[in-house]
Amino acid sequence: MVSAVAPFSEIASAVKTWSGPAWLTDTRKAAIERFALAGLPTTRLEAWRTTPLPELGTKALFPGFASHAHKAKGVVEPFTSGDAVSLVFVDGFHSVTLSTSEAGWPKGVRLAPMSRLLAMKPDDLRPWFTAENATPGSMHDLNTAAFRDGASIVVEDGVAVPVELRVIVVSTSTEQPVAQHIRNLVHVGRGSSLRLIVAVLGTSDALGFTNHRTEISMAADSRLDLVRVHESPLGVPHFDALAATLGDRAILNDTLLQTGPSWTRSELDIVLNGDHATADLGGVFVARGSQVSDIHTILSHEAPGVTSRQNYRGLAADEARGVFHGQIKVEAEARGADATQNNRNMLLSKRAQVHSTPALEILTDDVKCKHGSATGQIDAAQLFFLRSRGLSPEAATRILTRAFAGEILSRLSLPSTRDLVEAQITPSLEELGVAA
Amino acid sequence: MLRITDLHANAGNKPILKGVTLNVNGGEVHAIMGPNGSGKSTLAHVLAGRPGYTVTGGEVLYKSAPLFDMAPEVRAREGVFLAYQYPVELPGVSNLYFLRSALNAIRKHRGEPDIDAMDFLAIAKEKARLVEMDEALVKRNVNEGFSGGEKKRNEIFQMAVLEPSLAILDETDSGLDIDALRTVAAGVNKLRSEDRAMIVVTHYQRLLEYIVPDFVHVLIDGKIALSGGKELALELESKGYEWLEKEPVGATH
Repeated sequence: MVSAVAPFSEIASAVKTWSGPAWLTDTRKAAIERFALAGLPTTRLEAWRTTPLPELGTKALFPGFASHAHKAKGVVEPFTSGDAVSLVFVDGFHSVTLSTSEAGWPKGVRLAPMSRLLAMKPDDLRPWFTAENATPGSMHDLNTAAFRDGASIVVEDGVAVPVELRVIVVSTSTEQPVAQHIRNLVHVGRGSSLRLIVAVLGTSDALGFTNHRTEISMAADSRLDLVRVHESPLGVPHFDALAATLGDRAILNDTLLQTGPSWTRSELDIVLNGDHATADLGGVFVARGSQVSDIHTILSHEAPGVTSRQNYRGLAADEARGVFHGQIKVEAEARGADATQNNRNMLLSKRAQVHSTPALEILTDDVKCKHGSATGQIDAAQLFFLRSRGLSPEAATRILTRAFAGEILSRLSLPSTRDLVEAQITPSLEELGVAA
Repeated sequence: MLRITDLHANAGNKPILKGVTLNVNGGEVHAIMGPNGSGKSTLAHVLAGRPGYTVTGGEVLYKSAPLFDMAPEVRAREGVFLAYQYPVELPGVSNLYFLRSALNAIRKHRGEPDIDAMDFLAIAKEKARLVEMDEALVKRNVNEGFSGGEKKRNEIFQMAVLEPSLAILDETDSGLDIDALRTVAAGVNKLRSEDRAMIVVTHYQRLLEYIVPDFVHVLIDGKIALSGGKELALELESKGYEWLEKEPVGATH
């Protein structure tokens, strides 16, 4: 029998040889030991019941060394044009040539590739790892053990960053499947604001696995407008985790466009532990072919007066499976918390399926909590209306599915960002099959 | 243009149309009147190809070709247009985008090149002026947040852009106050032409004061009970439909 960790078995021995301070090596060793014990997640775990990992094979999924910047160029170009400042990672490692040169980096932001921090100032990272607990989940452990790069973004206090930052993660390897374990760390200082796009992309024939983790800490009165584009190619399954803690009155706005063809699971673990913090989250998944596309959210309300909004939509076509699991936790101290969750899904074929599960855990009476979930097919009256105006059923379906996803796109108020993201996801939306 | 012969149709399993015969030539406006449940809207829907109805007998020739051999979108591309009694809202779909897609589908069918967004905007503005529709509504999402009158006007606007050969107006007057009715009717009248036929389905004579028909037909229990000129509408207004329901009269048109 193949070991559940076989594709990653070489990492365990490699970790010991990586240079770094003792605390980091110890953290990595402990993580890889936990990972070896637990193995990759299986459907026996409740949180993974409807989301089987794809077969990763027995071939070593070792972090790659060769950065194919030339192959990634075309993929990242739409993101690197304009005024934005980009940090680009290709096959797991920072690409200097594709990233914005340091001369163009905004003031008041300490920006660095993690690979550089690991080599030059590893102790700067230490505060981020003190909270690693014993049971964060095996994908998290794997990431902790194996990450070699990612973006470190520290916005100092009182800085409204004037340009959009973009972190772009690209898979290009075709000869050898490459596992990229990327760790991004983002801190938004007191009273500061930041606009950030994080995109996980790849060349269409790339092979590998992406384990992408972003940790965010938001100080009091900070604001982060985050847009995430998950368009990993078919041959690169993509596990994604976003963990954020929000200080007093902090505002996190996250829009997730999970439209790519690969197996994708996105976990969001948002902790509202500052008074009157707000998380405004929205996203759409598009599942087609025999794909699984999963969005798992945990919203923890831990302070008085906090607010959370969740608006997630899903489109499932062909034989694909979509999953939305939204957990709302309200602790006793979160008096006056206000939490809403809405999930709407559209099935485009008889064999497509969506699993939508709200999970509420509320420990105070002083709370406003609303959730709703609806899964249906394309509206027959709308479809007929469009046909009666001359559009083919396929064209009519395309218009209606784009409109359905468009409500999430309309969260992006900055036209340049919306245009960029829309152009990126439109081919995926247009590929949606129409089956009886 | 349209030749309906002994048309029978069911809604679900229920027979609604029980032998409708009607000829409509280019340039003519025909009013179909009748009490609730007589089959007026069913006739409109069956001609447009709406799912949920089964044709059980008879024949409909449109431009000499069997209409029921055409999918709904093909009928539309061939020039059949249904103005809906209850216009559909399309959240997230802009009027401009939807209508340009529709117009280009029709143009493609005719072997004509696509119209680009810029040229289409000019066409849309001109047609909006023609039917007195607010330009702001042209750019909004299809019927989303529109008033009843605005929705009906939007139907007529679509008709103006798509330039059908056969327009079927299904209870276009329902839910409109007199001012809205007047504007909508004025829009329709501007679209009357020698090569365009119209079928105006209505319960009330009121609409026909503004859209004056060439012929009036009364549908009772799935058949045309009486046909006449525009004065028949006035007669129905004073006498109601009851006298026709009691003593059915054969179709005379």
